[in-house]
Amino acid sequence: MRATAMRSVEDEPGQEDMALWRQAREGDPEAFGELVRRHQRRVWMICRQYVGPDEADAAAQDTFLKAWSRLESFDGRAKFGTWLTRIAINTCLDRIRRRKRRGTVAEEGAGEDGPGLLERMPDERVDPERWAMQRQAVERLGACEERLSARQREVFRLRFYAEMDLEEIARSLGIHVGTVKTQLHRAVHRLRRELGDVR
Amino acid sequence: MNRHLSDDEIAAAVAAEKLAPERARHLEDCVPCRREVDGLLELIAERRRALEAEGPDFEKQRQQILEGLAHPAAPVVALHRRHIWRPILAAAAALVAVVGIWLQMTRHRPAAVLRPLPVEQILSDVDATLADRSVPGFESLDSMIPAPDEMASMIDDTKTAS
Ligand SMILES: [Zn+2]
Repeated sequence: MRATAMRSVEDEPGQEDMALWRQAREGDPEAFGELVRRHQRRVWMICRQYVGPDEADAAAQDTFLKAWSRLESFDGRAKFGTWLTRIAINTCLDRIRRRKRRGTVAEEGAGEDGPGLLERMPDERVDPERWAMQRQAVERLGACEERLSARQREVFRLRFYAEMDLEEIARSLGIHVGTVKTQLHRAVHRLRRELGDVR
Repeated sequence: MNRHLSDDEIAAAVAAEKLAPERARHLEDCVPCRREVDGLLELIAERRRALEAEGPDFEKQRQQILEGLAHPAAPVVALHRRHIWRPILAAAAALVAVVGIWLQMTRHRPAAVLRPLPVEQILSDVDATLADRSVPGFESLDSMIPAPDEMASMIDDTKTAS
């Protein structure tokens, strides 16, 4: 009973997406604008993981323009967000391929942190020493992520930074959910070991 | 029972995997184990916040996307525009060749003076240009179409989830 109630609450955003998608498919840009508003942070975060901070905004915009031109092809069997995630990932992989063709790719560098990442000023109430330590720990986590396998890193970042659930990651990447679980477990295990005593 | 969580169990807890009931109970009651799990989760959350802080002005981004709907896919269109001239130029060259042949024939010059134009070759060049699928700008659209096996797995996953 409780599970049913919880599921229906969870399903609400999906239902709203579907209603907006139907309106957008009829050519209503305002409905599409609302879909953008609902998903743009996550799409940006996904793009951020693949193409890096400099290109993430352009890749995210590209994603939505492609989605708009392909609204007809969404059949509603997956969540709208999952469908959008696939477009975002494909868009990013395209950009990486094009970069490689032009010979301007910095290998793994694409996903690395930009210079401004950790330059946020701390809240005045935060102890500066504690803030500096935390900042160091966050930097170290980023560095450790770079040493994960590509798949582990991808799954870890989609799970924790794009805040996708395991099923959604599996569908978006076209892999089995068991594989997602395994890769995530290994990623966390390895990060924890490499981070050592920074926590 | 009172044994602390192993590294594997801590990783499992961080990854939100289901622990055996007695291990889950231990985690609930044990401050050092909870600190391990919560510490790593908090660090990850802090990094997510730092990444989010890099984000663009999302309202501005939304407006740019909506403007883009009215003027669709500028970069892709630009590529198409640049390369759309290739088939047009090839077709124009073929037309010039055909008109040239016709003019030569209507002037009734002696056949021996005529240098035969490589009409077959020109037409096959035109065909090749028109059939060229490597025109930049198409590949990004082609790759948007999921491969049949990918599509099948999406459908399968949807079925098992429902
Ligand atoms: Zn313990």
